Amino acid sequence: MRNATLLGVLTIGILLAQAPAPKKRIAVNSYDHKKALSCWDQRRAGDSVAATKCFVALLAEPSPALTAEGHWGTGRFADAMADFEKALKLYPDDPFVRIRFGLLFDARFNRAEALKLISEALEIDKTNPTGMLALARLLSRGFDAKAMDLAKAAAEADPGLYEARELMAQLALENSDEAKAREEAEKALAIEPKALHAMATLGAIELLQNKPTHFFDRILAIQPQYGEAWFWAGHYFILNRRYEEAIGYFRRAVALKPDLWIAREQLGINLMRIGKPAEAREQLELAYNNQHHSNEVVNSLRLMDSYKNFESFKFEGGEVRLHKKEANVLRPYFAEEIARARRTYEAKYKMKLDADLEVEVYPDHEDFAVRTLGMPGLGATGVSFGPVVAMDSPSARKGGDYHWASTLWHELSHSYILVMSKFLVPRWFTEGISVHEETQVSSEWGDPVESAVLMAIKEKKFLPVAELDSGFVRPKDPLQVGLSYFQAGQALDWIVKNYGQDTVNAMVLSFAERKTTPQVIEQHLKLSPKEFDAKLLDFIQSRYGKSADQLKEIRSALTGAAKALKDKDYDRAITEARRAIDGYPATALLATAYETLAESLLAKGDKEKARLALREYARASGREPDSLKRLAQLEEEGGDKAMAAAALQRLIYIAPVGDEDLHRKLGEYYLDLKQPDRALASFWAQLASKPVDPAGAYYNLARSYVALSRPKDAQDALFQALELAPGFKPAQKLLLELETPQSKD
Amino acid sequence: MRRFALFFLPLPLLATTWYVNLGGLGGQEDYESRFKAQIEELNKLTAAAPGARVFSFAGPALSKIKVRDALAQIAREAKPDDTLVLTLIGHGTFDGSDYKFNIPGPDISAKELALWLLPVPAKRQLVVNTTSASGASLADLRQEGRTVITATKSGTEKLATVFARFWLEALRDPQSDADKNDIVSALEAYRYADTKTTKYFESNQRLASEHALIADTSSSQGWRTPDSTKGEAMVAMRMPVLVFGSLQNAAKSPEKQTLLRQREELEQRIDNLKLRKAAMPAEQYRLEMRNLLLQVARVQQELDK
Repeated sequence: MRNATLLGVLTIGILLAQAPAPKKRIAVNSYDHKKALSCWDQRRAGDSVAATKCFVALLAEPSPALTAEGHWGTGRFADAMADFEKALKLYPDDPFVRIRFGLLFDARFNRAEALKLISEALEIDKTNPTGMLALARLLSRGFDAKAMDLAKAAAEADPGLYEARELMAQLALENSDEAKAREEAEKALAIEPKALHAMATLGAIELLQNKPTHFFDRILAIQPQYGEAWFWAGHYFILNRRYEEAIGYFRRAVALKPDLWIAREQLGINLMRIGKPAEAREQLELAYNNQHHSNEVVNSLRLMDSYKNFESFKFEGGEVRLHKKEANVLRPYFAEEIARARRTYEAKYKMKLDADLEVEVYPDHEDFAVRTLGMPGLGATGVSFGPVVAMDSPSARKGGDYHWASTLWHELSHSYILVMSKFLVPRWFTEGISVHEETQVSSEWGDPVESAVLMAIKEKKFLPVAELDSGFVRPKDPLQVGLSYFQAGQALDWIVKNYGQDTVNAMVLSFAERKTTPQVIEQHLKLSPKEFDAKLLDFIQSRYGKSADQLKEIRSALTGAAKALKDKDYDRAITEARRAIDGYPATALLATAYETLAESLLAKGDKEKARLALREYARASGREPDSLKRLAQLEEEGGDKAMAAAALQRLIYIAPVGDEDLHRKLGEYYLDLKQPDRALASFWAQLASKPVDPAGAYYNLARSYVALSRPKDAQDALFQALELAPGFKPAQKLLLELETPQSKD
Repeated sequence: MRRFALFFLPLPLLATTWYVNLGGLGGQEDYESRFKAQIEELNKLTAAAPGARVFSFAGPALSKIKVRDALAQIAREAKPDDTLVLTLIGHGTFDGSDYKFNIPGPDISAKELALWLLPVPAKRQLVVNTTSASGASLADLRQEGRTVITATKSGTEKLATVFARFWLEALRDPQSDADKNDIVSALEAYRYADTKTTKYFESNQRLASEHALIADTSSSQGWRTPDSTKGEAMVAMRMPVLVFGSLQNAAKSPEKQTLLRQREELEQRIDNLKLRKAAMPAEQYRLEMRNLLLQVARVQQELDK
């Protein structure tokens, strides 16, 4: 996943709802909460007949706190909510009611209300272990680092609360900390020998290590219908991007417990991920039709309904799915880049994928997010599920904000590395390779270094390599994700530079053998992880240290340049912009400086120097469409059509949709440059852009066909042009030329 | 399929085109300079058109009386074969009842404009209202035979528009002449400007705050994307906004007028053939079309000599 904050976020709300009601230290009011607890205990134990009887009995209780539980247990959620409302009024100081009500909201997919009520409970009783545990569970689903602290506090506040230890084990394993996960799970089992979730976590650890495990037999011996055990296994495998195996575990979960709707939800979403929409829809609809209306299910079904608006195009070794409205523009560009990436990676990684590559391209970013997580709001632009890649279309983002080809190559690299490592590669390593690959295609690709990263360099905020995965999975702050991508990318740059690609490949294969990051670094780089960290830091310092140290000065110069430009003090703007540029390596700030410089030079009428400044702007990954078009214009005026075409060609990777002028102009340059094949592609893209002048676009195609010595195709294109515009003089002229006997093919 | 049928309509090429270009108040410096630049460009483009007579009022020089007087003068001097193109650039407002064009002094309402346009004898009339809330002016301005283009679909689209920018682009970009007959019609320019406006919002990832309309009958509610095959916007299709010089010159020669008529006849046959396309074998259609297109090309070759 590129620029993602989290991977594999799962909703486990239903499990939380079915989790045991709190047993400890609940403020006692005028009702006996133990009656409700016993019903939930029976349900957890798998005795559904007795549990249902128990819940029905609760309905006759005088306290609304208990009738609410009765309604909840019998699936009458609206009635349960109404009774909890009454209970809140009756027992305003009872945290138990708020916690239970909150959990009911969570079970009915209203996380915001759940958080509010449970937080209120903790305001009443700050150290309420049940409240802390409930809040920790809610936060854990957002991969919030505070979840672990809360779970720990709950466990310490109530040493008998084994569920807190189970959650700590879960969180540790989600963070790839198997040792800690094992330790906490064993603590939970020491408190409660039948702690099934703890056993599932221990079993999953062994499964993740490809080892046989007896834990699932133990679980099923205690409770034969405990499908949750396999659900949790699937959950952990998703986080490790082992989708096929995860799907197998979700299947086992629903086989044991057909009404475990959360497992069907995840089964459906992950079938979608690996490109099996028919079965995915079946599972999602089954969940939906049984009142499991989670956002993930609803969003995924809506997205699947929109698939009718997409078209798939197959080509050798792959398939690309594009929205109909932009398919004709994007198809040739995506097909070309996928084929190019495939050739490059097969040679570089010395492997071939068994399956065809499938690339799905979404013009609506939220559709991509739903496709990826089942939920909108994802910060990423692409994600790889092995051979299946989903990503934003260039039209999903504002022109200049997004380099789609860079993202495509990034994700396709994951596709290879995940398969090559049998999906066992640690996150930092595969992200590092992908970030590294972006700039191998072109030094202008990839994301230039942002100021926040420069500040982090100065403050030496990097994680040790052995812990770098946590920077992706459970970042301590939002900036840590971006910083982790940067660090991983730099690490791979350094490894490739000093050890070569073959070493990288060998490292991937070692990861496939379940070796850990420290083991792999020691084996292949002959360094301890600490030595590696030190050398990496030196490398980063050598590249960016100067910029990091002088960030304040660079910013000051940029501000001065911008102000001077606004004040029309062009000489000063030029001086300040140059001060921001000179001697600093490529950072995101550099493009801004060159842009200001070019603008100032143009204002002074110095087109030649402005042209040179904009060339540097483009080399510094400057991507603003207007600036690149201005560069093309200046190149043309300077008589260099090859450079003009190169300037516009960059925009094909940035904003190719909805800009017919871009394609037309590019086609004209290529015709002038005697590159009719490229001109032809550009004019087809112009035509696919629903041009204001379709006759002109057909005429351009005809000119390209003539240059390619394809007179029959040229005549066909002219026929189209003249059918639209019979008085189109240049087309008429060309038609008459082609109609002469010597021109006929 | 849109053509000036020279046999059936008086040739517009020898008549006068009256351009009335109005640039309203900007209110802010950015808009003041934008509207000023746009009116200057419009003046330049329209002044260069053959047979053009341009009235232009913008900024402080614009007043209600001046517009009224200019239209009164046109009403006195214009001939039925002439063309009137009235363009409004600036801000408009709609109070739920009346559309008003914001100018120095009292604003001009759509009702007033409609009243002043009424005595103008030119049969071809085009009002291009590029302002915010301009959709609210359509009901007052529409009239049989008059084409009305508004930048917004209603009075509730109140944000400053970008339509004017692309309308001007349509007048200077030869690509807007989609059928390549050297005449940019109101429909061609509308389609060009509307397409570019739509793409502008799409490429900037912004929710479109304006949706242009075109109407050319007294009862039309306005079309977003008129379909000529359904007979929509037929008047707008024949409403010239700009005529290029080459055609104007060609029309002045009697010999070439004969060729023009030949070309026109062939083009009419092409139109008829297109209407029969669905009912005939593809190969036959293609053969007939090819022959006609070649004939037109040869006539044009003669015209260009």
